[in-house]
Amino acid sequence: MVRAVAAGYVLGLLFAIWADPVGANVDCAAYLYIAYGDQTRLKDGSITQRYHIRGDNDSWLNGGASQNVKAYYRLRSQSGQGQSGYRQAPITYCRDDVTFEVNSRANALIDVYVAGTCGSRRWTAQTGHPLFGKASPAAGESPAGAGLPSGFGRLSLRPARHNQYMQTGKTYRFDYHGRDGTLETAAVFEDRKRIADLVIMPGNVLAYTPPHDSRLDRGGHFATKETVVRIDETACGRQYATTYTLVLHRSIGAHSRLLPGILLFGAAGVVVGILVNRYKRRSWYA
Amino acid sequence: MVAKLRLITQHVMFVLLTYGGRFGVDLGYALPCFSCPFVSGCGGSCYLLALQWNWIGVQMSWANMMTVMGVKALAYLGLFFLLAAVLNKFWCGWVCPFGLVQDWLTALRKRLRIREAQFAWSTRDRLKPVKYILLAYLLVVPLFIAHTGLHTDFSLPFCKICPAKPLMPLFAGNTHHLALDFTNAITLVFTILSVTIAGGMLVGMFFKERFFCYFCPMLVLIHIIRRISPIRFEKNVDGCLGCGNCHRMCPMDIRDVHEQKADKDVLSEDCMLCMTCTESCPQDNVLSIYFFKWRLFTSSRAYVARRFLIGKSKP
Repeated sequence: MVRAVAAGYVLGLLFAIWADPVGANVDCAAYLYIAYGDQTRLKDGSITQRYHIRGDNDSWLNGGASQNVKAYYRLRSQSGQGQSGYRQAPITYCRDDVTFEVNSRANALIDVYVAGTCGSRRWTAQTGHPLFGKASPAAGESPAGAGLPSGFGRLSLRPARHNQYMQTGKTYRFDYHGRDGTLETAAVFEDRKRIADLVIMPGNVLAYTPPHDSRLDRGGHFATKETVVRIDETACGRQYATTYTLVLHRSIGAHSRLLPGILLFGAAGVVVGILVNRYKRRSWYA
Repeated sequence: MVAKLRLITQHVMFVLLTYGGRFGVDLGYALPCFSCPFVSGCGGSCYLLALQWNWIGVQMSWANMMTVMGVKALAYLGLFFLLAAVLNKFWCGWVCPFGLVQDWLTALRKRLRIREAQFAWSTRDRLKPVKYILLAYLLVVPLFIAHTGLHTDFSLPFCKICPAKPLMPLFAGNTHHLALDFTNAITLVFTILSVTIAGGMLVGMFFKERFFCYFCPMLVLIHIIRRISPIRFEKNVDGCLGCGNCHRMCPMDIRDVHEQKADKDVLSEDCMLCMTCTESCPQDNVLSIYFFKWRLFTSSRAYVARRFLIGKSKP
């Protein structure tokens, strides 16, 4: 009896030790994503963009997992050239908010990359957008940067340089660079709510066409919404969750109708032509 | 000779300003002429766009005026006034691409032997304030956006109704600006206005030479600084016989040059310095155009004789 109880304790202890990493995943967020914060124009003309790192729930910060998160960024010129590698951005922890900032002195395309771990889970959160800095280049600024950490998934929006003004109604294609494991789900989220499932096409390609949004259509040029594209993968006993945040504007051309415009253009011309001939000054002898 | 030189200059500038961007030409955002920035691949941009845009961006908070953005906005304003001062109304008559389009329509009308429509003087006087109203409109609406929260779809208010916006991109093969935008009520109303004005203006420009220039707010801005411009248009009032050629030949129907009997400065608000009046004046040195102290062109009896009597003119 005593032996059986002792064996039970040992087995229980072994099970507890073995089960620890799995149990830790319970508090891990399913995925992380980048949310856009304020944009600040500095006196020297440069511009600073703040980003918030968010999870699928607010409790992901409680387990200390946020300490394993790192943020990187890369500035490219509008033509796609610029920094050769990524630089690390310092992360600020303030209560329940995890943020970092990127400053650009010139017009640039920014690629932002966040990588984090929690137990057996590997998070990647990405986004990209233009920043319009107006400052003169800083003296002695080194273009050299570091590489991205290995062992994480990555989504590449293609072609990156032609997606400066992301808009509804346009198809965005992503190439997923993963760990050659099993791709599980691909979906689109808004405000942490799943709004659409995506089909993973051969070659690990995802395509998403954001639907038109009446709120954006009414909102004006500067109204935006954030949409998160997410793909999950399992490889070698680890879970990889990769997200890409699209900042969507309303469509520029989807609501334009050329034919009514041309008809109105012609009608206005005819009316003015008639008016001119009706009211033009005539010779007194006519 | 002046007319030919002007025509060549206009065409060179049209190509440069409409297609120059495709060859790396960038003359900036402060041009005092209608070089429409909505033409993809344009070589420079009309200052009215920057004026409307900076007004929002900089005036939004006075603190922004102290930043590099504020300095740049002021620099553009300074550059515009510098350019406008140096060439003054030559921008309108010799450089403006939209002006050349109007001249093409006039040439077509003449070729079709259709007589130009004439305004009554009362009508012309009634039209005069329109350009000031448009200038006030393009300055005030951005301020309302910045300070009263007016919807941002009202931004670039003048561009939204400017006839150059639907018409000039056609030269780059872009018909997009002729479309009606059903995105929301504001965009729809603005595109209806834009297309209607463009269609009406096109026909107006056909029947009446330089019809749009009667409404052009750029003319007002350029005219404001004519006092500090090195360009002067002067009349020797004592030598004028009062034949009226200057009035009859003027594409803008300006009669101030003819009627001026005291002041030698005859550069009027609507003048575009095309020099047609000077070419037509049969008196030596009565009408002269100066750049600082140098006389660029002056009226001459011999010139008129060569042009009209020997049969070189094309009435």
